[in-house]
Amino acid sequence: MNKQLIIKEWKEKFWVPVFALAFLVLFAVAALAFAGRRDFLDALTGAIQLFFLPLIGILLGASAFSSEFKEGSWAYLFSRPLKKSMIWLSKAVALAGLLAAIFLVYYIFLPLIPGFKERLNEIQFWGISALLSFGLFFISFSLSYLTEKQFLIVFFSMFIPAGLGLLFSSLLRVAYLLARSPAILIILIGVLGSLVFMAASLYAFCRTDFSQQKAKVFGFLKAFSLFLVLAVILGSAVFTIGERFQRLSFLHLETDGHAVYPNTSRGIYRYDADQDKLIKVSGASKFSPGLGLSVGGGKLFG
Amino acid sequence: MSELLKVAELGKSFGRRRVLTDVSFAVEPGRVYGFLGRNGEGKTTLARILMGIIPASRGEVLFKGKIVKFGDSEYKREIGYIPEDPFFYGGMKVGEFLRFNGSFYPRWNTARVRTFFETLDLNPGARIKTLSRGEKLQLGFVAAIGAAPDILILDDPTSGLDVPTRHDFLRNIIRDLAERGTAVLFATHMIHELERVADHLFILHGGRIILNRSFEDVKALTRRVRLWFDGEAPEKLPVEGVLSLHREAGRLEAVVFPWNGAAEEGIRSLSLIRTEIEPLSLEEIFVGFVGSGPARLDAK
Repeated sequence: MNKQLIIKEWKEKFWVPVFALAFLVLFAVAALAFAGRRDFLDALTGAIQLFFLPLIGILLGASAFSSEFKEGSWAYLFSRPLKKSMIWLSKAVALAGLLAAIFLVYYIFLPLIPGFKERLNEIQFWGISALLSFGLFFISFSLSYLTEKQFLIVFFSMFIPAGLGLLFSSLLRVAYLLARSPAILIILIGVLGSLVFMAASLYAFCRTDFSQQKAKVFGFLKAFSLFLVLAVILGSAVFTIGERFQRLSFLHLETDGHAVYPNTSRGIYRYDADQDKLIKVSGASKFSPGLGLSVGGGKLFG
Repeated sequence: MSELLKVAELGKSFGRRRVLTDVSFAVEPGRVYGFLGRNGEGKTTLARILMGIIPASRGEVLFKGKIVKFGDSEYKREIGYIPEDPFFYGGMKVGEFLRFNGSFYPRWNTARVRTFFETLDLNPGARIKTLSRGEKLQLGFVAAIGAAPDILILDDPTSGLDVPTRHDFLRNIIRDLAERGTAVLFATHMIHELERVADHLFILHGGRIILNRSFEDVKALTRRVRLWFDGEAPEKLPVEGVLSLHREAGRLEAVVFPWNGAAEEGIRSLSLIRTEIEPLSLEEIFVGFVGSGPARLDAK
């Protein structure tokens, strides 16, 4: 990381924390003005965590290379004795640091504002808010050097992850997690998806010809496809292997006449009383988008 | 003398368009190399490849004997670069920018920067976006010189500058750098500027280097010949290296490079009424090389 580059980024993007703080004041005023309106405060508390902070993340990421485009200074930076990876990483660290500071300020000060304090006891989305904010920040950051049109970056940063989320959920055999721990699934998709974007961005940033718009975009897409495939293979392998070593935990019992079917975390079994052992009849439940949960991978109970 | 930089069969294409083809040359310390070429002949592309801003499509670049790969950054500590459009961060102050820029160079010479800065009319507290083009160029020079580079690449930074700035500032700095052992690669349209500082001349045409000679050689070996014939002038001259040829009735005018004994012999073999042979200015030489002459030299 280059300290001077990080400081430069902080100075250039100084307006973002100022903008976020101005909104914090605005939210405080709104909370005081509508102190008796519980429904309004509920909606605002949720919107700050699930919409406003992720939006700050997207805007911050999308503006990462704006000064380089606006002033043509990418050629200046590339002609200095700096590794391209260093430029990319310094920017990422500087802006992620800014986002973390904004997030922390909201996390600390929002509960201190009358009105929010009570609502936050019931409406707590800080975890998912952090995941969304940083996930979307890294996605928009990863795309930001591809075009100077920031609205395109914001648009793609919002809609690409939704599509990829669906793809991941079907490809990674996530029913197992979805059925038992949705938080792990969401974190996994968020982290893995962001990592794919970042890896593709860093790889293409270091290798492609910056002066050629098409080459830049194709370079990114090529790297993105490669890292996406790698992520899916890696994710699937982790799930498959992980499932084998998963402790057998009993979920519930199904009966069919004299047969007993213990449904477990590893799959569905039939208890054979003669042999006094469990015989596996199906893997764990599977999830497919649109079809919902398929018990016993479709092998059991129709 | 040892080579600082060697460029071997360098090529660059943008899609199907070839911008540079088989460009080869070497650079030695303490010399000023002039690059001339029409617009779009690849001077900026060449400078950007040398600075690692864009990758080459073919060929290789060696700095101090080591191959430079796209993405390498170490060698840039020893190369300064001033492009045609100075691209600084407009929001930074002059002093702030120099500290920012200096932090990238281990050999950054603060004392030299201060001494040089005092000779200029720059306010360290001024925002860069408020500077004139000439002032930005001066700032670019301070930033480049502070790094104590072994090579300084100037990509036509003088266009649009006023005459006094070009005349004194540029010449003094370039000569001073060369005396300190820095090799200066100076691409420009301002042929008169080059004429006063260059030791060596390259002419880029059609993406190739068509002339690679010392400046003295170019001046000494290029001649304009005016020939008056007794009767109709011939369509061709029995001389090698005719760069341009104009023929009208009994008169013929040509630019010849290299002008040597064989060329003189060839002219003497003609039946002429009158002969005029004279040296050319650099501008005339340049036009002779890149104009619509019948011959092209391949000085690779």
